[in-house]
Formats: sequence, C-alpha cells, structure tokens
Amino acid sequence: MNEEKLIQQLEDASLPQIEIVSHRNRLRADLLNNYSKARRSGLMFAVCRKAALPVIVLVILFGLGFNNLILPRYNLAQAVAIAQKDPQVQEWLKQGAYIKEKRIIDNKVYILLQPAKVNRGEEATLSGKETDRQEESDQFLGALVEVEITEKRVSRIENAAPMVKSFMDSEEERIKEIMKNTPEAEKIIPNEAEILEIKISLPELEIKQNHSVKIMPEAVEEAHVIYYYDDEQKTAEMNVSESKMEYIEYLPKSGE
Amino acid sequence: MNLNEEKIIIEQAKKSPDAFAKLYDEYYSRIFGYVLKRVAQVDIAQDITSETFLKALKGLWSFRWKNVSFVFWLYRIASNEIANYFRKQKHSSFENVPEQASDEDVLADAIDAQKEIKRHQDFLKLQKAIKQVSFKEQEVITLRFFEKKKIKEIAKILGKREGTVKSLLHRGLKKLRDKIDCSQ
Repeated sequence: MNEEKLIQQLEDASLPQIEIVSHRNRLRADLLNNYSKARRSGLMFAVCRKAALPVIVLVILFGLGFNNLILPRYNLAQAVAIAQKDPQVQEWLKQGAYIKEKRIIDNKVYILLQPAKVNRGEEATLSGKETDRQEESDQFLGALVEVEITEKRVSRIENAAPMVKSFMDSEEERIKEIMKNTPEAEKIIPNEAEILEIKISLPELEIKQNHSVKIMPEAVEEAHVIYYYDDEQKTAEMNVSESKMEYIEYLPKSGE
Repeated sequence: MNLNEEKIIIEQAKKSPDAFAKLYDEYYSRIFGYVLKRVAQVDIAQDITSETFLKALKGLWSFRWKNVSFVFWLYRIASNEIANYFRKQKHSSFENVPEQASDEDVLADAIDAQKEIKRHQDFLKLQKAIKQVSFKEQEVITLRFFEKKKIKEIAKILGKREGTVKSLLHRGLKKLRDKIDCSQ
C-alpha cells in the first residue's frame, strides 16, 4: 500500500460520533460541585508558583551577597588581625609601613605592606649623597604577607626586591631641567639654591597575579629634589614619568 | 466562540463556576471524541475524559492565556492522560476490566456506545494498527486524520515545532503502512 492510499483510507474512515449524555451531565455536576475546593487549592498553588521564582532569586542573591561581600570582608578583617600578630609585621607597622592592599586569591589572603614615604620631610645632610650603606640595606622596602585563614597563621612573607636607588646622570640632568622650567618652582626656589640630592622615591607596590603572587613596582616613578639655600631646605616632588612637578615642601630646619 | 470571547470566559471561569461550565459545555464533545478515537473503549474514554476535565479545573488558576484556544490545552491534558493509561496497561498483568459504574444510566449508555463503535470496523482496523506505532506518532496521526487538525494546530497542542510534527507524521505513516501490509 502506498502512502497516498493510506492517507485516503485514513481520511475516509467512518469515525464513530458518540455522545454519552449521562456521562456528560454527571461529570459536569461533579466538576461544579468541586469547584470551590479546586479553586482554593488552585489559587494557593498559583500563588506559590508565582512566589517561588522571586524567593529563589532572593535566596541566590543572598547567597551570592554573603559569599561575595559579607564573607570576604569577614575573611579580610580576620586576615589583617592574624597578620598584625606576627612580630615582623608589627615591627614594620611601627616603622610607619601601612597596609596598601588586601586580596583573597585561591582561598588565601594576601596583604601588601607599603613602606612609609620616608623621603617626605626627611632632612638631607649637606653631604647628602653619601648615605650609610648599612642603613640602606636595613630599610624596609615593602612586603607581601600570605595568611592562611583556616589555620589562622601567617604562612609566608615575601620581601620586596631592592630597587634601583638613584637616577642615572642623564636622568638627573633632565629632572633639573624640568624644575628650572617649572614656573611654580621658579617662584619658590631661588636661583642660587643648591641641589643637595635627587632621590628616587620608593615605588608603590601592587599585587600581581600571573601564576603566582608577586610584588611588582607600579610604573610611576617619583623623584625628590632637595634644595638648600640660606639655611633652609625645600623638597620638590616630581612625577618623572609625566615630567611634571607635583608639589614643593619646606623641610624642618636642624634642631626643629 | 472566538479567541477574544474565550479569553474573557476563562478569566470569568477563575471566579465563577458558571463560566467554567460554559467552557466545559463547549469542549466536552471534542475531548471525549478524541479520547474515544485513541482508546476505542467507551468506559476508558469516559474515565480519561473525567480526569482531563478535573485536571483542567485544578490547573485553571495557573493557566496563562497565550492567544491560543483553550481547547488545545485540553487536548494536551487528554494526551497526557491517555499516555498514563497506556503506560499502566503495559505494566498491568490483568486485562482491562471495566469498573462497575455506580450510575446505571451511564453503564447502559456505555454499553450502547460500545456496540456503536463496533459498527465502524474500518476505523477499528486502522485504530488497531495505529496503536502499534510509537506513542508520539499515534498522537500526531490521530490529531491529523481523525480530529482533522492542521500541522500548525497539532504543533501547538503537543508543544512541538511544525518540522517535528511533520517528521513524526511521515515516520508514523510509513510504519502504519508496514503494519497494515503485514496484517493483510
């Protein structure tokens, strides 16, 4: 039999047209008698179904909020408290270091300690370029503290690598030239002032994540140019990368 | 009843039993007829039709108007009930014995109706062969040729794409041909 013949057979089949009135009427009565009961349960189900989605969304949002906002903040605060109990960290904080950044990476908390900006307000000696080598090597340059929250301990401390501590001659000349041509500096710094020292600022640190966490210097370089005139010292901070002066500050005189 | 009228009645039916009765009166015959053509037994068709409308009543307050006739939803419920029936039958080790109707009128009407069905032998032969193809194919063939539904309407009833319906129809007809050829 081919398909067309079959289709013809199906279309032409005499179909029973049966109606059972008694069943129809009986069922109608049963349904209407149960209408109120069905309405109560149907409405409740409809309300629950409507409420289900918002409730699920709220639960998910709360869960996300808890996991992403509340729990991390709690963990960060806990980690700082743990780090602050470490004797080495306590020592650095006493020296003026501060917590620059805190981050949760791979279930551990990393706390970046930035040294204080020791060049600001620091008096330079007239023979300022020669500094004590021992003091230099002891100077805190920054550190990354790794904290295990679950074990409540500092698991690792990584010190920042020593950086280049002075400018090359050509860079120094460029800095001097910029300062000479800065109108604001011209007003404050007399022409006769002597440059005692040009110091490179300790760079800002940041946590970088490639395959491991490291301390990396940020790109911005800052220079401190220390002037001396008439028993007075001034320091000018310059953003070397952008070749512009940021500010000039008076330094306290000896004995002050 | 056009779609707009139906939409209004459905909203009224959620508050008033009389409005629900209008829907029942409008569609009882179609649903009973469809179920009967699928199962070819009056008593089973009655039970399935009762279950269909009972579920429709319970689900009325969750029903959302999608600009498609209410009867399509009823057809879908009926198809599911028929599927449940066939599944139970498959696993049952007993022959299907009709339950004693509590209402004698209903029983008498059912017996007469079953006799009427037996007069439609060509339908019964086709129906017997249709029952041997897959369940999805049975649905599509019955809706297409016995309920005279278009492919688009069948797709809406079954919640499938038109391409899928066409494919089921084509495969079903091929298998049906083979079954009929074998039996002859």
